[in-house]
Amino acid sequence: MPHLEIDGKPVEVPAGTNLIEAAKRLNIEIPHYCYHPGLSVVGSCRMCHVEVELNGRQSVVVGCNTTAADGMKVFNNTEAIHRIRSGVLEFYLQHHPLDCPICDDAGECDLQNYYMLHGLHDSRVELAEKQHKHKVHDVGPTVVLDSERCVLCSRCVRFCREIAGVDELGIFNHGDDSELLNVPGKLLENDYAGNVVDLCPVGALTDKNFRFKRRVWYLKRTPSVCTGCSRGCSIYVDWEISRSYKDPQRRIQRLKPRYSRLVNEWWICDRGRYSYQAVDATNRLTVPRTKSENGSAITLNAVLDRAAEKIKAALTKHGPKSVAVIASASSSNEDLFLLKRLFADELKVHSLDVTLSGAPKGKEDGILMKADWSPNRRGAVEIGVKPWGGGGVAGDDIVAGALDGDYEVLIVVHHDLTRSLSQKERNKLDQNCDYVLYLGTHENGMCHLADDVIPLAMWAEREATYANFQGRVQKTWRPFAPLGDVLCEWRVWQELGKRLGHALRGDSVADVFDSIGTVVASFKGLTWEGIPATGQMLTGVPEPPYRKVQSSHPLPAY
Amino acid sequence: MTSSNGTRLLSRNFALPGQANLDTALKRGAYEMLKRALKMKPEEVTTVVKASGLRGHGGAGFSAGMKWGFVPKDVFPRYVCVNADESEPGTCKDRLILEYDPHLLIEGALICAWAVQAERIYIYIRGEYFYPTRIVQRAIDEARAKGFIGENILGSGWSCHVHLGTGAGQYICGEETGLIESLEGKKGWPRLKPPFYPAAVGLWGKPTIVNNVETLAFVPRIIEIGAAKFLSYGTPKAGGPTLFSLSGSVNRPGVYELPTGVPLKTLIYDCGGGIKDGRRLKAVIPGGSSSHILTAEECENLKMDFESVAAAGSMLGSAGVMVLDETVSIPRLMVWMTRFYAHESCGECTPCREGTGWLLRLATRILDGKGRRRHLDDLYELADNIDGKTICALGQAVAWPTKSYITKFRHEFEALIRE
Amino acid sequence: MDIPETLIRKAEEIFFSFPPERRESALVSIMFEAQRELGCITPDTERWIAETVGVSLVKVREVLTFYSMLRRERAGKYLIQFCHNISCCLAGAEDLQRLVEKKLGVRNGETTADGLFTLRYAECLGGCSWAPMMLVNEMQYYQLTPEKLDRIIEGFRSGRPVAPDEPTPLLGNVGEKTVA
Repeated sequence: MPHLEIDGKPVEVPAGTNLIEAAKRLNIEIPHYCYHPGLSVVGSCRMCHVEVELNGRQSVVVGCNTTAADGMKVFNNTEAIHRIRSGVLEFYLQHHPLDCPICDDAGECDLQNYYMLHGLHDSRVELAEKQHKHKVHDVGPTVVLDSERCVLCSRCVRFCREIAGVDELGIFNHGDDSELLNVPGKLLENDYAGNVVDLCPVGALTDKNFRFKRRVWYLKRTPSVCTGCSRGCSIYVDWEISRSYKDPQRRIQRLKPRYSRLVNEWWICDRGRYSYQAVDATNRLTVPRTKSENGSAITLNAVLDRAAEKIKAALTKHGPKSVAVIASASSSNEDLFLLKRLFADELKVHSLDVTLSGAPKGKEDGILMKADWSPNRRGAVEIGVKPWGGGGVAGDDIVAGALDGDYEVLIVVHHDLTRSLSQKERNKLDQNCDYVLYLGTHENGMCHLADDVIPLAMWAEREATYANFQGRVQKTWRPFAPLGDVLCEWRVWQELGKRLGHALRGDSVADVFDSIGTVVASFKGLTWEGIPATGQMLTGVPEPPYRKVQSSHPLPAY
Repeated sequence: MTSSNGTRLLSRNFALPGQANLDTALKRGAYEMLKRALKMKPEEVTTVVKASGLRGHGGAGFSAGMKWGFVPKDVFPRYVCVNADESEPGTCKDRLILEYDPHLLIEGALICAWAVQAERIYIYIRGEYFYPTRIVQRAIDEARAKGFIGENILGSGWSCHVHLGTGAGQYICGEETGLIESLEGKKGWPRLKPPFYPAAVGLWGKPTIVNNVETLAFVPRIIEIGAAKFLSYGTPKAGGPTLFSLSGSVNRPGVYELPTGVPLKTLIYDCGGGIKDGRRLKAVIPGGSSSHILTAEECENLKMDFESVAAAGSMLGSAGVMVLDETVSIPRLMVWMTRFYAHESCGECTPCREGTGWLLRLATRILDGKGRRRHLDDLYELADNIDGKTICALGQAVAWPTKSYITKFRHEFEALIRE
Repeated sequence: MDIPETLIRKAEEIFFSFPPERRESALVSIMFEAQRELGCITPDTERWIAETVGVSLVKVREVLTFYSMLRRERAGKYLIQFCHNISCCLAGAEDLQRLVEKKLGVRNGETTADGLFTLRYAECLGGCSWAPMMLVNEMQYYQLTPEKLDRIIEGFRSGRPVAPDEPTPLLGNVGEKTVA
């Protein structure tokens, strides 16, 4: 492990570390544009020059392409380096448009930041000689290109080729006519296109979904986990709720990837990136509903009372086999644990399951996207939300049985059964099943079919844990309260349990999580407080080997 | 006029008609040195070339033999790229080799390929050299038909194929890694060195020797006369003659093969017949447009070898000698020069991409009489901001001339400033 | 699109000059040849090249727009590439520039109304010792004077072109016959 000094501070790094990464360990930033730890090194931006002394020889090198060596002294702050940086910056600024007042990137722009740190020079450019390139160019369905702002760092080009495995962006022409663009008829539309906005150090590539929505210095950032599929990429939720004069219903402004070495590295897919739109969608369920009073509003207590009544009656008259629960692998560990405790352990309901064959699923692309769109199937498996007791039936059979009138009470969480039921079948279900209770988040067919509807808080409005396909338990943090103050699923089961005479312990979500380990072996030893930001493996499940997140057929950078 | 007969190793057959034709070339001994080299061990050939002091004649002046020795032992296959992208302003000597003695070049490239055990040679000719390309293609076909190229060459057991690569009008493809990128079917964006030193990681990631046409054309002569003799035709550090491309304000422009280290005055006055129309010498650009300009005083005792020209504050480079008389306007020259680099900048890295155009616009403004005093300092400062901060040498190629023109001839620029 | 048989054959030759697993390397050479046959590279040609070489449209356009000899629009029957670099300017190319512009009635980059000549100023064409020099299509002409320039242009106009300077004249000591 080479020992070196950066600005007089000692640091030890693994062999093969470049100087930018070495400096990061000391919280020293060597300015750069084209370098990115997830992409190939191209050394084209020329911002990361540093002075280096090794074996008595002094030189000026680019930090991204220089490997830390034992005994090396790196100088990041000298007069000479300042002059070089200032000089290179001036070249960037020559044709860069004065768009700051209207550019999304203001506040997180590396040109602004480096100018304030390393530039601060006056312009000596003749305005009449300024170059003009494409502005507001529709480069793809989710991204807008302003190639005048572009600093030609080629991160986006290299990302598409090396990570997404597609060739959708190129740098055309030569000299100062060089321009980042797509070819006519071919758009930037791969499943990971949104990452280029994260990568772009300036405002050349901006996200259509965020464009002009909020200034970034108003944003608050909360770490969380994407619930779009079973990978559970680490993300940040960037949100802002105090500026109610502008789009007040839009609480989440955008999602950004959060680095997680063994899950998603620096990237997220577009489906996950834009999944925040569902959280603030206008068809969110915010109040309980009941059919018995023509779908009008009703208090949660009234719904819970009635649900408890119906369950008690069914159990008394026909026994546990008259109740069935179709739970969801989109629920958190806390939700599923209390669900199982209440229905399986206490009420002895045998027919409960999370799996339905008709549930929507995606493609497994070998990069990030998993076919299984539920974030917590592993959790459901570990906790044991499945049919049991020789007589318990699986999800599809529960639906079939409900149509045939096998159940008095059917409880459905999240799944919209009406998507795979014909009108006739829906009527049959309505007729043959005495009481259907639906717990969900959005307006859908189940809301009209169910007798009672309880709205639930979504992942971005709550603290929860989910176990991804690797067996990694990951936490969300809560940025703001749920719409309409709706409850988390596990609280609903607690309330229901109370009314059924079964106290399910847990004052807080941390309490509930901590108690899972007392029952489920794979959760033993895991505590809410103890789970780090990048999650913790279930007990007995080893960390997966490191795998570079990229297409199985990457293209070369150039 | 000083006859340089004895030192005309490379060009000695140019004036013999039909050397491009293989049968004619065979009569004067074409490919005999290939035969001799094939009887030597490959490493021996490299040793001889190293000892001969042969330096690269494309501009960088790196020891050819040393470069050949950088090929890593256990990595195969290997390739040789002949750099016939001759685009350095002031340089016009490779063209003559291609047109008049292509078999000498092919022979030299084959000997190099034997030395480094390469299996393919690509002769990358700039797209504008239409006529030389036809000549070389024909020569390759003839040589292949006669068994000098292809499988089991002359019964040696070694196979080597020769093909042409083509440029399409970008100077940067004369940069060794830009050439390789172009040959790989891409834009000629130079590669980072390290790690992409071609001898270690070149064409398709394999060890590749990239050498200039003239450099390789000397190789058969080295095998013929031996390292020591070849060395004696130059200086102890730069063996053999150099082909000087003489142009500008001289009476007899042309290509002159002279001992490396020949006094510049010999080249200009004896060979070149002195300055046209009896004018005075103002300055000389000694090594292609990428070299620092030298004043007449600085040229007084200048010897034309790599070390001496470097000591004088310039470079021998491609030995493209442009002679400027008293009527040449240096501010105008600045426009011609910056225009070239602005057009040829590949765009990969920022200082050159943005800086070359900026220098051209500044120079044009000054020439048009619209310049201000601070623009003269801007020229120097911007050039300095490019110099040494780029991926490839094109940065210094525009910076060095700019800095030297404004430093040594500032009064000419100042005369154009109105305010 | 209709690709001439000659181009298809030339493309095969070019592919043959590269290792079979390096087919994409032929891109620059094939584009150069395609332009010689077809006059310019249109979007249809780009698509054919992308398919034949096995590279993306992005790559094809990157190469097309990078190399200054490749063009997306047809030139006149005779493309004049007139060197405006240092040695040629030292030999009086700027005066000849004004002459040729006047004679043809076009400026840099423009084509004459009759479609006969396109004038383009080029960077160093490697004819410095024989300056001023120009290329007309694939033909090289050196040591231009107003009179020679005139003769050459009239030659193309009249259909009786002046022969190009092939090979390049041997100026300098490299042209001397006697060798010790």
